[in-house]
Amino acid sequence: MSLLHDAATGWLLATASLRARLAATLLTVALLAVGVALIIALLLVSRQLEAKSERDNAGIDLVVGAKGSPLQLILSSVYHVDIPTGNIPQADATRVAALPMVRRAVPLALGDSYRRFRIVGTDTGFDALYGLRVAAGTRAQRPMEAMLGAEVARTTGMAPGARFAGNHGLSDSAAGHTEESFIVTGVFAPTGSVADRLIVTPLDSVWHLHPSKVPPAGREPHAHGDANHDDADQDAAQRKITALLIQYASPLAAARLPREINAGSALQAASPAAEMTRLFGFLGIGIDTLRALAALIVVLASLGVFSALSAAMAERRGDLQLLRVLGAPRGVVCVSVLAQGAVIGLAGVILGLLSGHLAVEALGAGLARPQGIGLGGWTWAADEAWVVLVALAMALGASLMPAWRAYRTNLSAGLAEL
Amino acid sequence: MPLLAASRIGARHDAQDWVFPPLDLVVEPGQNTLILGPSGSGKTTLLNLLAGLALPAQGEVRFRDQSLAALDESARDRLRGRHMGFVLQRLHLIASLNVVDNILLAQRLAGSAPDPARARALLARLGLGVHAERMPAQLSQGEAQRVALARALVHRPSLILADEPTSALDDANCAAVISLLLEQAAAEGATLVAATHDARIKAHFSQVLSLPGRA
Repeated sequence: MSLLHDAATGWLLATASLRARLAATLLTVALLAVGVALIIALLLVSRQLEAKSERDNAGIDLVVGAKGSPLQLILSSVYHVDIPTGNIPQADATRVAALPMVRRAVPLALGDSYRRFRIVGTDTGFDALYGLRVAAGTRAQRPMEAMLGAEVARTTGMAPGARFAGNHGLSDSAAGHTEESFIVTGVFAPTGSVADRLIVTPLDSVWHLHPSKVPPAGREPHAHGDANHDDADQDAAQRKITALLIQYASPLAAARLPREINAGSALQAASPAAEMTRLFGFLGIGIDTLRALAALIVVLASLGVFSALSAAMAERRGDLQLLRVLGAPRGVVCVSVLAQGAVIGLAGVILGLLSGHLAVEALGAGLARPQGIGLGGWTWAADEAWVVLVALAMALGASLMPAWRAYRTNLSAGLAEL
Repeated sequence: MPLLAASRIGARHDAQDWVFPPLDLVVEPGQNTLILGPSGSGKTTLLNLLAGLALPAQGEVRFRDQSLAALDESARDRLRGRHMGFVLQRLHLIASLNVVDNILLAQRLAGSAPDPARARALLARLGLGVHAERMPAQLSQGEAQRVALARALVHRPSLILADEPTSALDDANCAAVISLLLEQAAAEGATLVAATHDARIKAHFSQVLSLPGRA
């Protein structure tokens, strides 16, 4: 009799045994699936957040802004998710930009929004930083002209030629600049970065709307009377911006430039890499706790596999003895138990994989996409292969002991027990 | 060539204590044999030795002139699966397999391809045609025993070993079951060796080996 024949017989016995204890089998599969799904979902979310963070970072080495929380400065100026720390004189920013350690410096003036999409006053250096390309219309050049990120265009339905008035601050409920409206001149091609969710306009637009200075951004609602809106002729020395995004000219700048700026002026310099490492460090505690919980569930599921198979073994002791008497070699009896562990493990892992991906897709569609996080379930993280292998190995490992006991089914009692 | 030949075989409880004293037994093809003895006389132990489920403390069992002791455990498993059928006293069927799959199991363990048509034909012959898809728990004890008989026959073994096949039955059922066993064994060209304390069936066998009770 071939090994294949033995394996087929073992498989028949295994599936019959699993069917006979369907409720216990499904429960064990479900427990394993929950553990695997949790780990997969955590993996996908953390990997995608890290990748998104890298895309949004766009190679920015340093952000210079007003004194305050460095993390807040990074979140508001690079990731556009927090309110800015304040404003800085444009003259100070220009001085920093001119330093030989700086390869590229891109100014940002923040504070207004349209339908929750932030309006960013900047120059064309911003396009180079994020690799922005005009997909429709032409690049905004003059004050009150605006470029839409791909996501903004898609959500608002606006196209070149459309007009809109921005709101003070970053929420829909804030008062609007109804007296002045932007005209859309173009739409950027999608980049997958935060730039897709921004409205980009020349710096002059912000200074036009906030003439004497850009008010302390984010401290909404801010007020400025008509007297302040009589535009033009601003004293350049009084102009303010929110932040300056910097790329170093050489790696040496990383050691000197932040220290010089932080020590010698009213400005603050913060490194996106360092701040995000700090942030992910905080988040990591929570993620690690969830991962530990998920791992615990997988371990519990494996114990469930062990317990279910041991109980089945105890129930089936007579069956195993009968099989041996009827001529089943030890291997067939052993395979019939191992195959049960493999079926439970495989079903749990496949169900867990599907559930984990579906959960992230649902999270992306229902919660994260409106927030601009852009989570998706139909992507694979390299570590998933390990999760699959470890979960399968644990389920199989849990069936080893019962399988060994089945293998050792003693024939010395022979027919006496049957 | 005898189907089964046991020469001077004995089994021990321990070094001093024999389960039964050394004995000889020759079973020719078609020579249905009854091993008769009271409880504790070693009937089942003798069946174990004849089936190769255990090896004798002394002497030798040969099946179709092949010494069972000369085979390793796996080869004895294969020989049992191919050439022997079993009808057992209590546990007759695998609880998680339906009636047909229980019967086909014997074919699988004999290394032959499952033949559901033959299994169903045997079931029909034993009056169980409508029970083919049922689970063992849905059968009466008598029905389960007949399914076990079908399983013992399906792979066309040359030897059927039955342990206490009638001990729990009344006289009418006892006669019916032993007649059925012998008829079906004859129909399939198999030889029946049964072990029992039930002397009512003695007359049905052409050879009887009596084991004395323990003193």
